[in-house]
Amino acid sequence: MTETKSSARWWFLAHGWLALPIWVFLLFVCLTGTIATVSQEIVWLARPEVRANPPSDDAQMLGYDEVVAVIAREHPEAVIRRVSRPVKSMFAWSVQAEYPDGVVFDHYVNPYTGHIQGSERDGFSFRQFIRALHGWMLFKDMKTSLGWFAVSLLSLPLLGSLVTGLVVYKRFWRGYLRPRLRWGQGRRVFWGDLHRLAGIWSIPFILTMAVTGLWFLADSVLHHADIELPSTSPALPVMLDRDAVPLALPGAQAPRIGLDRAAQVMRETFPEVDASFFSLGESAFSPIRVMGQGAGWPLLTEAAWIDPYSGRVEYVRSIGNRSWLELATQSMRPLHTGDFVGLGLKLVYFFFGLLLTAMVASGLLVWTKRTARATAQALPGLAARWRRWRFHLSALLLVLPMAWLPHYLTENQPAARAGLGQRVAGEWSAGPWRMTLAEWRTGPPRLHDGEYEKAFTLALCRDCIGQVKAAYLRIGKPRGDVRTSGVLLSGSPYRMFGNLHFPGDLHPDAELWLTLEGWDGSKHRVAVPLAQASPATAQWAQARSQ
Amino acid sequence: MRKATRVLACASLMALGAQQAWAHGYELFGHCTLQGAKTVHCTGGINGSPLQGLRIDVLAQEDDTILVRGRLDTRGTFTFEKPAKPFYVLIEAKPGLALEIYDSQVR
Repeated sequence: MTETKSSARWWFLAHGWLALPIWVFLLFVCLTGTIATVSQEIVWLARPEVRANPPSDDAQMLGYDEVVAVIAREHPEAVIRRVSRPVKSMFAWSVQAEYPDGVVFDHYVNPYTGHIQGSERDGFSFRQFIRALHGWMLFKDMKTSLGWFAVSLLSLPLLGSLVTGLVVYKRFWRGYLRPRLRWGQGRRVFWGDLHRLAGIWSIPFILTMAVTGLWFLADSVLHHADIELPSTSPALPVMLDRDAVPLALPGAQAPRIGLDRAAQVMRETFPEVDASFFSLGESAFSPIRVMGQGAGWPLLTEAAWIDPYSGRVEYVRSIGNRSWLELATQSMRPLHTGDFVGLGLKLVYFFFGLLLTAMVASGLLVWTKRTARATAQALPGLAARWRRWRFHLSALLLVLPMAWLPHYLTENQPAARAGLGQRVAGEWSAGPWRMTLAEWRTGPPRLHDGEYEKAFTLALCRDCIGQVKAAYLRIGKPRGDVRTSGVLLSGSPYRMFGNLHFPGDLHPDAELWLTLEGWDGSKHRVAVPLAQASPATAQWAQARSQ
Repeated sequence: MRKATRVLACASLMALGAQQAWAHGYELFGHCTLQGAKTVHCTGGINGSPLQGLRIDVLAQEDDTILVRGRLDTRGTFTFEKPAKPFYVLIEAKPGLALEIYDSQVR
């Protein structure tokens, strides 16, 4: 045998074996990824309430303020968190709002009529499920999980298959000029032809999936290693300074600009960008975040943070100001999902996703007929072992999402995501204002990045909501100046979150201090014994002090 | 590493010389030293780097009145004459991201 022939044989074997030990798993990931690409469109087909049908051909879309007014009129107790207008105009606008019991709803509003066509409680959704199943096999910690690693590692055999496939397929470019798909000459010939034909037409798609997948792997590795890539993120959190929030008369709030005005400011900042997403902020010091798809680089969004009291632009995150590294890394996800142009591209991704799934299947069929024989000749023993173990590794990998499914379903139950958390500590009053404090998760503080952390939640009484500008939480008594009040709680007045850092030598008799600051500048405080706020934390402190 | 020197911005740890506070991935740090008998020199910043422009005030411990107002300079520092009465230094980067340094912590 000549050297060239021998080398070709080894390339062929390498190609045949690359994905084989885990082929069922690869097939599963390709298939779920293909479905995930069009999951939004599947929802559109299945649920009429998410569609944006104009009542007539010349119907005009409403303004953002009009849509907000609809929610305010029909759901007066709702606190709107965000408003989004999908890039694809066939979808209804979605308004996310929070309610007194800490429940979050997405309302689908017809942008022409203002009719609330449907409402969905925050929790399990088909789109999120299929995405979690494909991307991290439903594991809990997403990017840092074994599931994420297992899936993103597939980028290596994918890239390897592409390279070895092109080496094995001599003069593959001829396939573009003379496509060949032979019927009636046996299964092996048909699937082999399909495998090659689909392969050469899918080169850009496979390369895109492999490279973006490789980035997901690298991203997770960097995350694990605690390495941050250089970024142009702001030096300080994007928040208003304390004196940028105007004082109001007792009982009143500082007036805010509407979303139409915010959209106008966005247009003035980025003349070619349509505002499509508004986040109304997490506290009185939050700017309104407005985002819109980049005109020159549709993979990413331009964003402006706007002072809700003055309408001034507080911070701008423009695509042009990002480094090449950021442009490349941040473009990976939209490039992987194909969600940045519209329905046409989604369908292209769907088609090539199906093709890739078919290639994994056809590759296996060719393999059973050919590579098994070639391997038996080249490496006797390996083929026999493979025959015996061919499903075990894949089965092992596929058991993982099954094992995580009950946990995933429990975590995403609407009831599990509502309310103040696992344990309500009690009600306290600070001056005229009453509030409920709760532990988001019971148990002692958890070590995170070398610090002991624990999240608390707070709900204001219904009558206080209009009067309280901000709430703070700290360990130990604050000083007279409001700036010493500790962590700023963020979220809706029905459920504000605060993450407290605890010292390792925390005294079991320590007190948590809550500070409420009024729109008129007044402040009221109350001390909560640690043993009442979180008995588990008090026990933890007691154990540590001994 | 930076983490090794982290301590908490809380009253129970007043004896320590450096203070930190956190908000969404931002860690504010600050510490003060005595230069000579009468000058206090403070440094502050975010995530280990000095940051210009952060508001820094010196307040009286007895009634929280502001004795000296200022902002960190280009090197993230601020210098003031040591007040005759007990004081504390307050650095606030943004609402909820602030720390106190007491005169007993000034070395």
